[in-house]
Amino acid sequence: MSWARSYHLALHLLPAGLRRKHGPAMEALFARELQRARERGRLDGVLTGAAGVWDVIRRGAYEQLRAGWGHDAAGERHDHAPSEWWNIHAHEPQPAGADLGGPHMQQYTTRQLLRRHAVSFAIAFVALTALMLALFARKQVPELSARGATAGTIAEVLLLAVPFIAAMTIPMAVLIAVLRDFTRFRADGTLAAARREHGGVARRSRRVGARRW
Amino acid sequence: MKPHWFFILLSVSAAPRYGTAIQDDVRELSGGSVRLWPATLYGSLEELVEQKWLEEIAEDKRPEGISGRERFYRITRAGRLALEREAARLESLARVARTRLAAGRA
Repeated sequence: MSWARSYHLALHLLPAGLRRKHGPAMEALFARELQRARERGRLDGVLTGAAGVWDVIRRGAYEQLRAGWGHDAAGERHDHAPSEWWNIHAHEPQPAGADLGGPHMQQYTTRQLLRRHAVSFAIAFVALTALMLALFARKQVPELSARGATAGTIAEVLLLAVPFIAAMTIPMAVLIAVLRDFTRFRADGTLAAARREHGGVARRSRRVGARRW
Repeated sequence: MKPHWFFILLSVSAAPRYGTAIQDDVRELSGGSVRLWPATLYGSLEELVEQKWLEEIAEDKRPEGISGRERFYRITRAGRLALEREAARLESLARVARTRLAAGRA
């Protein structure tokens, strides 16, 4: 897969608003950087490609955190006004079946849930795999160097280790992503609201589990 | 203030610029030590617009002779104030560092 394609795919880690607005400009700028780096040498090209993709992953994680702090994808702040959470007109006569207060259960669409999980999973997977690969490299590279292995051989050994590492990190990333998403559901009151509904938590869990697999 | 915000504000403080031009200018301003990767650059531009330190120039108000689809940004009054404050802070920090170094030498 080319760096341009990898970069295009990695852009999906960014919030949709940012991607729609600046995605083409980011890709064009990345292509320019890659072109310049390749003119300096093959290794430079690889390093620039990896650094560009890593920049998107890092920014994606940052934007996720920012969203958690109360900003949406395009950077607009969502201060939940008290009236959104509590019925401030509760003292007034209420119509039959009126919502008398308490946190509202946020209704996520399946697509939103899937997207949240995909982002959480991707971040956890990349972070864990990179960490384990770094630990593996720390142990193996000095040994291989001592035996006179070339840089190409070392790179090949590291590359071949990735599938084995991924076999371990995929389940770990799934667990982290599910824990993270349910923590967020709890934080935004969705889980508490779901508990009040008949089968609310079970229904939500089914959607989380079933959609992942 | 984040270092790359400082450099972006510094870059657009003289004239409105678009993303790629900001990246080139920041690299030149920092002597090559600050490299703004695309996602960081455009993400930061969005954050600075949100902070109201930068504003995007509407297509019909772009500098003369410039066309194309690039989004141009210019610094706002609040952005200029923030940049001045940060420059003053860095200046005072540099002054303290020079004083300490001189005292160490004496």
